Formats: sequence, C-alpha cells, structure tokens
Amino acid sequence: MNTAMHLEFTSQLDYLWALMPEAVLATGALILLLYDGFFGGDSSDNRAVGWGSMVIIALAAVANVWLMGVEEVGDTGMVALDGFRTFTNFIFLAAGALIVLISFDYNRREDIKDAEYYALLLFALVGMMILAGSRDLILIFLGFELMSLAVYVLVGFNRKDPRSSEASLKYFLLGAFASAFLLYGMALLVGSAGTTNIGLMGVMLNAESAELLTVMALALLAIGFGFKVSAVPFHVWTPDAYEGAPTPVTAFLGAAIKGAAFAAFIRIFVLGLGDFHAQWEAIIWWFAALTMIVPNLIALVQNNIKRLLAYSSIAHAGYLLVALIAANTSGMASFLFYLIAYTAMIVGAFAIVLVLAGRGDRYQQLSDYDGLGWSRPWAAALLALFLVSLAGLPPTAGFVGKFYILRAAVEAGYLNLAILLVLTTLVSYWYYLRVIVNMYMKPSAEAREGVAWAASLRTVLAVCAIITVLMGIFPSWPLLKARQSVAGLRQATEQVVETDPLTRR
Amino acid sequence: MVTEALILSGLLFTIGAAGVLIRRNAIVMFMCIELMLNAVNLSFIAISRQVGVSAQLFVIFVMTVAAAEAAVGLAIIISIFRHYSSVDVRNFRLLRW
Repeated sequence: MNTAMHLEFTSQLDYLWALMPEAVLATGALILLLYDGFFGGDSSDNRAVGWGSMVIIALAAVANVWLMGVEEVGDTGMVALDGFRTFTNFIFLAAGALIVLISFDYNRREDIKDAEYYALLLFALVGMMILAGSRDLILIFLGFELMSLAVYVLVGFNRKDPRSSEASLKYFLLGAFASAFLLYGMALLVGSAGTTNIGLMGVMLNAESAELLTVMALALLAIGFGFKVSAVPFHVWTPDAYEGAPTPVTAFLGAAIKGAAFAAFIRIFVLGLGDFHAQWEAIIWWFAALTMIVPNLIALVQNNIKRLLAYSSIAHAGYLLVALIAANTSGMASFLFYLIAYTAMIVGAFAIVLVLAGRGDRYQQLSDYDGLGWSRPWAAALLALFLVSLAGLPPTAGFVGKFYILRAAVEAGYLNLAILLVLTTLVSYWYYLRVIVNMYMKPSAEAREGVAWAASLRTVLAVCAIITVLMGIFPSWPLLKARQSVAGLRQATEQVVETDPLTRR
Repeated sequence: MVTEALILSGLLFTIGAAGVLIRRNAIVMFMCIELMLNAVNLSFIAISRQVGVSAQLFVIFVMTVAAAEAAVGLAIIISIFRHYSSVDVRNFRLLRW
C-alpha cells in the first residue's frame, strides 16, 4: 500500500479516492437493496441483510484506515482529508455497527421485516460522514439532507405504531424548517464571501469590518444547526422524536446524528469562520447556557425513561456547545473524546431500555424499573453504570469527558459557562439517581414475561460498558489520539488564536 | 438588481416561515417549507451575478434535495393519515410532556 499517497484534486479520480469510505458504504447499501429485492422475498427474518450491513460497515472502516495514510495538498480541497474527518468517521461507523447489532432483536420483536431499514441506516451513515468531512457548503448541505432524509424515514419506520408516525412527522416538519434556515444562512454566506469553500472563506472575509449580511448569515446558520443539535430554544422536536422512534433509531439519533451535526457545526464555525468568533460568540453563548439549564430542569419531572434520556441528550448538547464556543484545540479534542464516551453510554443505556420495554414497547415508565436491581441484577447494574456515566460521576468516561470540556472552557476564558456546567451537572444527578433509586430501593413491580438477551445485544452491552469504564480509568490514550487528530486543524486556526482576545486570556 | 432580488427572496422566506408557524395543516406547512427553499434559490440566483457559477450549481442541488424531501415528506404524511384520518397537527397528541 502506498502510504504517502497525495491527492491534489486535479482529476475526478482523486475525489473517488478521497471519498472511499463513503463510496464503499453507499455502494454496499445499494447492493443490499438489490439483494433484498431479488432474493429477500417476504422472509420473516432479515438477519442476512443485517449481517451484510455489518460487513459493509467493516469494509468502510478498512477504507477509512487506508484514508489515514492519504495526504492532501493544501487545506482547501472540497473533501477534507484531515485527522478530524477520519476520527469522526470511526466514531460514526462504530455507532452504526452498534445500532445494527441492537436492531436485530428489536426488529424481530416488533415485526419490522423490511430490509430497507438497514439500507437506510447505511445511507444515513454516508450522509453523516460527508457532513463531517467536507469543506464545501454544497457538500455539507447534501450530507446534511442525506442524513436527515434517511433518519426521517427511520424514525417513522414502525408504521403500525401511531407514535412512530407522529414522531416522524414532527421531526420531519421541524427538520425541514431548520434546513431552510440553514440553507438561507449558507446563501447569505456565499453572497458575502463569494465562495462556497469553507477553507477559502476565512481568507475572503474580513472579520474587522463584518457586513450586516455576514452577521445575518451567522445567525441563520446558528439557528439551523441549533435545530439539528437540539439546542434550546429549538429543542421541542427532540423529546417527541426520541420517544416515538423505534428504540434503536432513538439511540442512533442521540449518538451519531447529533455528533455529525456538531462536527459540521465545528468545521464551519471554528475552522471556517474562526475569525468571526466575536460575532458568533454571543448567540452560541446563550444557546449553550439555555441548553444546559432548561432540559436539566424539565428532566426532573419526566416519568418516561425514553423522554428522560431525550432531555438528558439535549443537556449533553449544551455541554458540547461549551466545547464548541471554546474554539481552541482542547475544545475540539474534548468534543471528540466526549463523542466517543457519549456514544458508548447512550447506546448502552438505550439497549437496556429497548430490551426491558418488552413487546410493543410497553414498559417505558420509570415505575416499570422498580426493584429491577433484585429481579434482573445484571441489567440494573449496567443501566446504573451508564446512568452514572451520563451524570458525570467518576470513575466513568462521562466524568473525564466533562472534565476536559471544563478545562477547555476555562482555557478559553469562559469561566461563567464552566460554573454553569458544574451547577447543571449537580442538578442532573437528581434525575439520573432517581432511576437508580427506583431500581434498588423500591419493591419490585409486577412480574413480567421473560426478556431475551440475544448474543448480539450482550456484545453491544459489553463493548459499551468496557468503553465507559476504560475511558474513565485510562483516558490518556483516547485523549492523545483526539488531540493528534485535531492538531492538523490548528494550523488553519493558528491565526485565530493569535488575533482572538478571548483565547489569549 | 441584486439588492431587490435579495429583498424579494427575504420577503418570500418570511412568508414561508410565518406560514409554518401559523398554519396547522401538515401539507400546507410543508408547502410553506418548499416556499422557503425556493426563496433561498432566488437569492442564490441573485448572488450568482457576483459569485459566479457555483451559486447556480447550488440551486440545482437544492432543487434535487427538495424533490427528495417532497417524496419522503408526503410519504410520512400519508402514513400518519392512515392512523389519524387527519393531517391537522393539533390532532397528533400521543407524544407530549
């Protein structure tokens, strides 16, 4: 293998090389659809397609490993070839694989026969990877919509359940509404910068004399992304979509979709428009502050576990916004670290919720978890571990991740946001611990039918638990990797670091 | 010319956004979203006088995406109509806190 392959984007073939993992995934998804059309028939079990999608994800991961050895010339190519992209690609692929594994039993239990489920999951992954890895507004928009359209369908995939359709409609209407805002922001940004390339934008625009058009573009982009990452006050769709969606898709929404939207958010705002930090800082500051306070308060009174985790997920978006507003290397590294940790904990937590909910997703109330610690000690112990990690207590990955975000915020001079993060985390202990108290300190609820813990699901739980614990005890290696992967980006923002008074503090 | 076109597109966008917020029929809301997308297309075309072909290229992609979005959106609306026999979003109240 040629380890020092250089891509100059002079020929069309270079784009294919640069988009190798995405090309593998998209081709694989199309082959899966064809396979199902010709050989699937109306078989009751679509496990073959599920395993096929696992193979395709593995192949894409191999392509991504190969991509790490490829170098680009300059840093304004339409497709980025930096560590940030390969790192986020790995996270998305891993999240996709975990979701496929927990989908097997859910789909059989809920009688979801269509193999399109897995193909749509792969298409959503392609969209995410394009979204997180492109440096051109056109490509970012395409990735955004490819991801969103696939996920709208996935949320409503359980057509027999009115909740699923309702969640899908609400998510679709608000998501498309947000896309329009995002697109309008892009249009104004293209108008003021004269280019669609994010790498060139920083050079073309002058931050000292920012026009009204640019500021409006920044505000509209922030609204569009705010919807996607469910920042308060644009979070109203989140609890509904999370509750109504099939549970594996809920885990996917929480872990990967949010991560991809954040990656693009960081690429545009921190890398492309880092010079405009002073202009966008105010609006993102309020987003971050509100997104930490409001959902943590609302979650206190939730009685449905999926809704509770949805509000917890909104709150985590607030913590990630703090990493974004810090806009320094530690901020981006802590974002990547937190993304791995968060993926592991949220997928693990939803995997347990998925199994315990039983056929037709009946048992989703917090009272259904009464006495679980005695009737199902393993499930309760693992759920407790994931909840403790989500709450951010040591010695788990959640604690370390929050600690690094705090450090990045303090380094960048956002002491007020750091204090707010600590305070809201303290408030959040209440609702996470409430579930744990229910499981261990209340008498058991009425006896239920036994639930099957399939091998694939056990594997997912084991992987998530190991990641959650190991990253809590030995955080240095993943953090080092995260730092290395954003180190290349720093050169592009170096100038920002020097000119920005906030980062000098 | 460019300024006028931008103002017009801003006006259309506002009408679309107001429609989404005010109307409660899922299909009308969806039409308003399409209006918003087309308002953006108009501003891209206006901008392309200064920016060049890349803004026009953007419009082609937006139109393609809007078509895909219409397919998915109408399918979702049909699927919810089968459950509720209605497309009024006020009737969809299974999910709320």
